[in-house]
Amino acid sequence: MSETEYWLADSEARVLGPIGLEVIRNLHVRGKLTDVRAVSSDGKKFVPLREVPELLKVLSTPVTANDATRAQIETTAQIRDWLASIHDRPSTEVFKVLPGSSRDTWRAAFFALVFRYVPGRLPPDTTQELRLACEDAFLALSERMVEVERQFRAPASSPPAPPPLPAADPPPSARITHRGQSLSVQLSLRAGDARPFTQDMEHNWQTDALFIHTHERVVPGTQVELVLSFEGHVTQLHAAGRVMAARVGGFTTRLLNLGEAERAVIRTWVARATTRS
Amino acid sequence: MNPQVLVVDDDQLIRTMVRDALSDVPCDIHEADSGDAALSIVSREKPPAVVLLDLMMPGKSGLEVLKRISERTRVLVMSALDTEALVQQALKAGAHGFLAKPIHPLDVQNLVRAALEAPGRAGDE
Repeated sequence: MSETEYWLADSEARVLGPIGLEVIRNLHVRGKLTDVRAVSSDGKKFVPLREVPELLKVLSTPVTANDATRAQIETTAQIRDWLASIHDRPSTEVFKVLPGSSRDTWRAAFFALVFRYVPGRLPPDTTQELRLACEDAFLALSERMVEVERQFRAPASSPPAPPPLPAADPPPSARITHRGQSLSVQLSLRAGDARPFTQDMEHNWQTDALFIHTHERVVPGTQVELVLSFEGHVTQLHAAGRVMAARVGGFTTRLLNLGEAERAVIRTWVARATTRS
Repeated sequence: MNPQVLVVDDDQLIRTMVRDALSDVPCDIHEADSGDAALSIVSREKPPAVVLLDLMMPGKSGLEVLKRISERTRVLVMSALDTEALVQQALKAGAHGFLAKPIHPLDVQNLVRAALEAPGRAGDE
């Protein structure tokens, strides 16, 4: 037997429904239903709330801080379950996109799915656990989208990469290789370390720029091929850039071909690092 | 000819905000202040490519409208009732995406652009 569903009307006769009792309870404990005046079980005939005891009981239950927290715990669990369920599933299933779909279709599906997990959009009272779950969902979807974008960009066959030349004095995490007139930079970021994205006050992740630590001399304007690895994540971020400014101890490079998915990965990485610090 | 976008909300202010947010997006924007008005527009021979739909409105609720139009157009639900359970219900009912109120103009732009660029429904042609 299917669950009974209800329509709720507020003091301005605006109607929500049909929704089940669990959804109503969830909305109530999140403080989202504060003005229910009339209810209906068929969407046509509305009666005062007091005439439907099961709804009155739910909606008259005082909302406590514990309730709100519990609702967030439930939401966190739902997101974690969902993340676990998509772990081994292909991106076509996760994004509900047919194999062979266009890049636009992938992007549309990505945007539609990712928006409610954007860390910067979460309410201030979001629990730390829910915030982290949203960030993980955001990162998981963004990583998949980076991979999708890369497949659309990838040439039919890539030439083998030349063996890396020994760097003069590379910092521990950045490998810099001169390739003709350009630089190849491989940067491995440890979990919680977003300094390359945040160190330069003027040019940072918010302007698609990052700082590379090195004692090598580089010339502003030099092209950079960058490969970023994020500890704990299989996806690497490949980007083309250009040296903006050489400074003592390194140089700042602007990333030129970032898509929204790549930006999302960086944004989430910075957000997580900032949260931890 | 620009694609058609329909904004369905009983709040004139929200409709105006969405219209302003989409001023840089090449599309023709139409408005409806109720679910019934939205159904009337979407049932035309050529439905809008994208519908931004409020969940709580006088008369027909957004969920009822959503179920009836999601086969013909791409629906982006707008609501302050952004709990995970209700978002999931809207997505199951055929919503293409969910915009939490208060809406951010950039979110509106991004979601509508993406929805417009995604092929596959009658309203796209």
